[in-house]
Amino acid sequence: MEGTNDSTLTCGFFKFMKRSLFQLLFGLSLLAGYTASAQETTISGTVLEKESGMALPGVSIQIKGTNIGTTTNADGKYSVKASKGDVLVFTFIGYAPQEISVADQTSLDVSLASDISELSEVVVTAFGIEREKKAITYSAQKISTDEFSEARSLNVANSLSGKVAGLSFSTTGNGVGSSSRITLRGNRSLTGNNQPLFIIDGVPMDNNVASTPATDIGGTTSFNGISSINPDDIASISVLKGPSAAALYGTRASNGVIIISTKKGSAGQKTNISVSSNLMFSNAYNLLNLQNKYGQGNAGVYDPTTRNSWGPAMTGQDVAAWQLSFNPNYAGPATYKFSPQPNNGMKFFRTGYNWAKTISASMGNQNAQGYFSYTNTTSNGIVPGNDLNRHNLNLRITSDLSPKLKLDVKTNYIYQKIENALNTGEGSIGEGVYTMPRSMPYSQYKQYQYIDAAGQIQYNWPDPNSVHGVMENPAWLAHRSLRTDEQSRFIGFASLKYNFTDALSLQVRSGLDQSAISTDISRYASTSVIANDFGSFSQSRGTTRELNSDFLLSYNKKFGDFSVNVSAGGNSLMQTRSTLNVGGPLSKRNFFAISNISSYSPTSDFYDKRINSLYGFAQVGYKDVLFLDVTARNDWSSALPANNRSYFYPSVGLSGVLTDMFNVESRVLTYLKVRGSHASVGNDTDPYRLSQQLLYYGIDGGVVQSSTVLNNPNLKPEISSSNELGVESRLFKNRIGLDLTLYDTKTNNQIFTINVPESSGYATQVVNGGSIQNKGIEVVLNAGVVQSGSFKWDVTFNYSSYKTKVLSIMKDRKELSVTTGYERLAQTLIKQGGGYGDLYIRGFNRTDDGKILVNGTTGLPEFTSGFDIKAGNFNPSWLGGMQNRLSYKNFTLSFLIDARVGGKVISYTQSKLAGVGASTTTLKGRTDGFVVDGVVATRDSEGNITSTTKNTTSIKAEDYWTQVASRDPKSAENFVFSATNIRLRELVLGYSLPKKVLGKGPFTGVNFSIVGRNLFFIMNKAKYFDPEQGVGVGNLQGIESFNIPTTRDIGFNVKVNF
Amino acid sequence: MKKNKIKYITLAILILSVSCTGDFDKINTNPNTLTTDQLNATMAGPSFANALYKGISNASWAIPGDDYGTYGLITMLHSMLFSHYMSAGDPGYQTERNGINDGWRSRGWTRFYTLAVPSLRNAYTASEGNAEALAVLDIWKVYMFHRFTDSWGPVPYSKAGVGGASIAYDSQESMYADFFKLLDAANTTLDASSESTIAIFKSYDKVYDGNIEKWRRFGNSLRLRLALRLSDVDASTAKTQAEAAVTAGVIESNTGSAYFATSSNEYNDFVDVAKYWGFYMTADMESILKGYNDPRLAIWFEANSNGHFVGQPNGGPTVRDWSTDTLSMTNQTTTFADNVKKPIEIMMASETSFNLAEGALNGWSMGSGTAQSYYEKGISLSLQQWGVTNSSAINTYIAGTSTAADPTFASYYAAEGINTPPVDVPVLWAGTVAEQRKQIAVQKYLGLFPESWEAWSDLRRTDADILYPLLATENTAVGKGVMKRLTYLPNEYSTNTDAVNTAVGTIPGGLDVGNANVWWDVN
Repeated sequence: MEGTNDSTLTCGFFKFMKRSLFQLLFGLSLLAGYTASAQETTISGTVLEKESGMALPGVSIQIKGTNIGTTTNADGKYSVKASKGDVLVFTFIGYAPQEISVADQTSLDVSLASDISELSEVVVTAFGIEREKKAITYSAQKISTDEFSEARSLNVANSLSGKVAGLSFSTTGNGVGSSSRITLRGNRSLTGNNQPLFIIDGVPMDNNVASTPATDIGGTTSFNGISSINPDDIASISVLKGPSAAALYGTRASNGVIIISTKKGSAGQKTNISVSSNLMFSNAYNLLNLQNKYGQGNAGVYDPTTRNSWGPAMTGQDVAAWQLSFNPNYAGPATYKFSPQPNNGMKFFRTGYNWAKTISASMGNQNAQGYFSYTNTTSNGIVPGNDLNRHNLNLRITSDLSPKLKLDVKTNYIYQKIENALNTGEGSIGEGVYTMPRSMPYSQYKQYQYIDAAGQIQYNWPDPNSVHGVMENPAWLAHRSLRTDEQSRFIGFASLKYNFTDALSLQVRSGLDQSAISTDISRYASTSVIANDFGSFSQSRGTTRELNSDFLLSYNKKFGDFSVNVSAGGNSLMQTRSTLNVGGPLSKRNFFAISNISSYSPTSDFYDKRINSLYGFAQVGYKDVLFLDVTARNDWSSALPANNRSYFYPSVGLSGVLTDMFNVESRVLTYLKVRGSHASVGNDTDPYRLSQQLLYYGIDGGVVQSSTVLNNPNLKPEISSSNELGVESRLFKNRIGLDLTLYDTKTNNQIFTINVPESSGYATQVVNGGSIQNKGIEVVLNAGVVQSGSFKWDVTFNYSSYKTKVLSIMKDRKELSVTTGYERLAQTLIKQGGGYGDLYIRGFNRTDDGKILVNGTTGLPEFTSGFDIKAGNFNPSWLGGMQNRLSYKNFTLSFLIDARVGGKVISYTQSKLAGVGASTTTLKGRTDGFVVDGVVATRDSEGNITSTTKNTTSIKAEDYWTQVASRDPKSAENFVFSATNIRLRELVLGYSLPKKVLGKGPFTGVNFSIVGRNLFFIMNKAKYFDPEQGVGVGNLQGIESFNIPTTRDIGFNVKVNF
Repeated sequence: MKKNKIKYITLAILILSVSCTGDFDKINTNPNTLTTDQLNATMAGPSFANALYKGISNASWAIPGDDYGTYGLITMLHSMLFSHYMSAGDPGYQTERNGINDGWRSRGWTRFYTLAVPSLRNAYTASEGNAEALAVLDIWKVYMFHRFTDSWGPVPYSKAGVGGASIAYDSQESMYADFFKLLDAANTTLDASSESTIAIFKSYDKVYDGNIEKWRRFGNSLRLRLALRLSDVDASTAKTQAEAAVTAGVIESNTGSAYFATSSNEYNDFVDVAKYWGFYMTADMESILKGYNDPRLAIWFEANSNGHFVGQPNGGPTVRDWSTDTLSMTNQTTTFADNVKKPIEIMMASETSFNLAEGALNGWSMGSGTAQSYYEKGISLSLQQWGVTNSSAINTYIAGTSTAADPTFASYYAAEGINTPPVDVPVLWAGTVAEQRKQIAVQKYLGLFPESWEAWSDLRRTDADILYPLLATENTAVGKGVMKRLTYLPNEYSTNTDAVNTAVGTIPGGLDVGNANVWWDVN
């Protein structure tokens, strides 16, 4: 398959970009150096309004890159200590900020001009290009990152919730460092990835989640890439939501792009060393509805071997000790008091913490600038044994190698170790804790093991080897079912930019994100579910690598009234993942070593994909008020068949600043911009989906198995196209800002798998098809509510709402199940004309007018046979956030209220709790029974209802709930909740020591803050759990399944600058 | 100088406009898998090995793509409960009360058609040109599919496993006709073979090690089983096929019985699932085995800590309150202790002997024996199979005159108005043909244990009144008696709509329900 000379040469270039450039650029980084200086003087002066010459009170003056600063007094006067080389930043709402470098002066008067056109607002766009916001033809939102490192979350993605219009957030109960799911503008792909692409410093990051549960049965979610990024290193985040913003990033950007810029040193900056410590404590936020009246047992009779709470009323009577029946070593009293244990579950949890310690240094002169940081994070989750330790090391160097040649290099090393990442769902710690019999004291079940006569560790639990009693002792799981996840990750890039002339430049860059991942799972003998007598051990070792090499040739020039910015570039993406898994039952009991495994079944997984791309974009500006944007990109993907492997997609956008075009002079309307764009983005698929695969297993001399997936040699690329319209306006001298966006996206020709008749020999088939439409609105409103003297109060609201509609699936197929067939209580079905995210459950048979049909003999309702009742859609009706920032002298207060309104969530936890008689739901009718509100039908021989009478048959709670609820509930109608919730997401109260207190000491700034996350719900319609927590982070949303409790985090932050 | 640089860069970019995709096909080839064009003779054994294991138990464990839950869901929660071989410990398992659960049944269907059938297809492809191998595959195909059609009625057969958007269902009648044709031809081929083993299968064949004669007799015994199945619906074919099978030669001794030799990768799932999912001995088993003083009682089941064997009535309510004595489980100390060492029963010599006995009762030409001699030989074969080799013990059993005993929880049946055990015949060969038929049915029921699929089919065909009714039912149409068939799957209705609807139209009553008879079950 060798190409022509030309293409060989081309390939050579790509290979050069892949292999050599990286090393070369890093070598060059050694050439860079820095100097530093420090001598402090007091600078004072007056700030005036430029137009009127009047003094401006309340203007903020800050030394750039620090928290040190002051504000002007009522006469517009200020005084600040600064060193030569410092940059003073003067800011005041409604005025253009000014930056002035400190030289030898001691007095500095400044005039601020009112900021009509907001010239200064800059957004980082594709390829790290900073562009004025007014020139952007699509929706881009810049996120304040002030609270990221203070109101800290272990996963940066969690800090985005409530701050971005159109961003939907959910997390899972995997404990510390867990993955979360974010989507922008809803879901676009039927069964593929719906999460945005993360770009760090211009280089795409691998954010793949290797595995996450696809049913309400639950399981483990692996850690995604963003979860280990250090929040301290982030300088800014901008979110490009629709495909038009992303047209240039190609393939993976069709779900939007989140662009993260990390910190770097700046020229003329003196050496700044900063040390900070952030300590947050977390506690379980208990919302559960557990009953405290009836204890362990069945049919009203105490049974020490059951996990059910269908026993007698707890009145302090003596009952046989729980362990007597199976623990031969039990030495405690033969009876214990049968009394309510209201907190027997919550006592299992501990106070968790998250302690981050950071030291960072930045410095720079005209030729070289550097930023260095090291953060160590240690964290304990609320579940004993669930711990995290993370080291982030970051070095960034920018340097002018010559007046025309610029070097930018970053190396980021991350080591992370997570102990005992948690499962959701069945067999999880959450299930073990919540379903604990209501009479079981914590002091008893915490004795999770005993040593038998043979000296072996045994599970101190009734019937431990029974699958039908999956509910485990959580204390055993925490200590005897162990897991360690380690990640060693390198992210780095190097780029060289050569300015041929002022107008023409060429940048070449290579970026690498490479991780070594390992997971060890050790299960002690006698753990339930794993049915073996000696324990089991498994190891998985993997490497993921994403290498991007690109070049960009740019030309910028002004021709009279026209400004022209034309670029052309190319990218080579190499994405590989490989995993090796070995595991099995042990031979020597509880000796966890690979060599001790009695029967092996090693497996390995591969993923290898290349995408080569060429692209170009042009922007033409007219008189700095009208802008036209055009982009074009062509990709060649190795995952598509040769004849469909190349695909092209363009975008076009137009924006105009109406206030400037028509010279509007208004006291009300300061600025008005309209924008519109159309874009399409192509998408490929995973590798190895073209030809039929045959698996060969070397066991027992050899076994051959066909893959159950019917692959497709004729796949075509997916195309997502979108239209977007937006208005940005500023009112009352910029006191109020409004950004409104309307969009409409259609994704066609999707690549997904459909269920086929299994009798064909295949379970699923890879096909092209499907069309999904997303329509929505996004509003961002900010206002300077108060700005009087040293008191300031700014508010930013965001609101978004979207609707996703399935226009078609494929010919002769009106319905697509994204479920596996083993669901307990809910399935996601995608139906033509329906919404994406519709949840279907089993439920009660009803009459045409909605009355529940009841079996007159048993008193039990009649049930639908399949998952044929629509319970609702998991998507919210709307999302909103309100971010407040208040400051008074040295105090700052910021808080974020986050609202999610509408959407449904189905709780497997509630179903199971009702089934075992543990929830308050099961109190009614325990002894005398209750009568289901419904009717009993009389039917003719055809089964048609001829008449109905009101049901009068009573049924006992236990007979009712063990059928209706439980593990395979016959009706999930009782467990569907509204996901509407409003919460105080973040709160930060900060105080900076005044300069005069610091005096001539070594410190240039000291900042304290008290922070809180998830402090309380203002409203939570799901009542008994946090609806934000889902069974996993995949496309199956709206299902809650034994997530550990959401946590309330309170902490302290100290930051010292030298 | 500067201009030159620009020229070079421009040139490089122009060159880049030619895409670099030369090695893309190689990159997009999974290094972990083979392709279908590699299915040559060396792949015949490995494909057959998989078709064997997946075709028997509908399950595997260690081989990726499956887990032992499949056996639990499709066999333990269906035929094992329908035949009252076992009773579920978890009262939530509704199939114990003839309830229907789509997910459990679906798993069996899915694994059969997406794992077992494609493996068989691969084995055919890889065995091309090898007549003996193809004949064995034909026999195995009949074995795999007859259980499927006997459970569901019409199922995809002739068009199964070869792809396509709509897969037609075959009528059971046409499938049986094809079964007989395949078995007849296979016997002819194997009989004529000059070889004694099939080389390409040898070490991969965990049933007979590629032994041609054993496979031939297995095929003929299967033919006898299928012939008897047609006793009521097509007596003349039944007779012809049965006699042809016997003439060709059937399994005569326990050394010819078909077992799958398990390994640490291909387990005996019954051992694990019965144990870990908490299945109990049934009241029916307790009643018969205790009444007959059957030595197999303590071989199959375990006494509780009080030394008692206690069976659970099948179909108990969802909230069970019998707690007077601990229920017995399978014998996990010896017989069903080791999932690696206990081979899986496929077809036992005793069954063939009981089939010969029934054929003789029908007046068919079944060789040199009589109904009684085949009946008694079947009993000996079964007892010997389970380790009862002492001939006086066997003779004592065969001469037994006691009938079934009341089980421990007989009072639950008394509450239903049933005061005597359904098995009212002794082991000792009785005087009337009706009694003899029932005796054969009871002994065959015991002889088949724990192969519940055949037991369930035989219970439906013979309509032998040997089981207690369920205590409760979740299926008003079927009631408390034996389930008649499995219903089709939601995925077939949503993906193979026309084909499944056509098939449903041919079911008696035209409804896809559990109380409709399959083709051969005319009573």
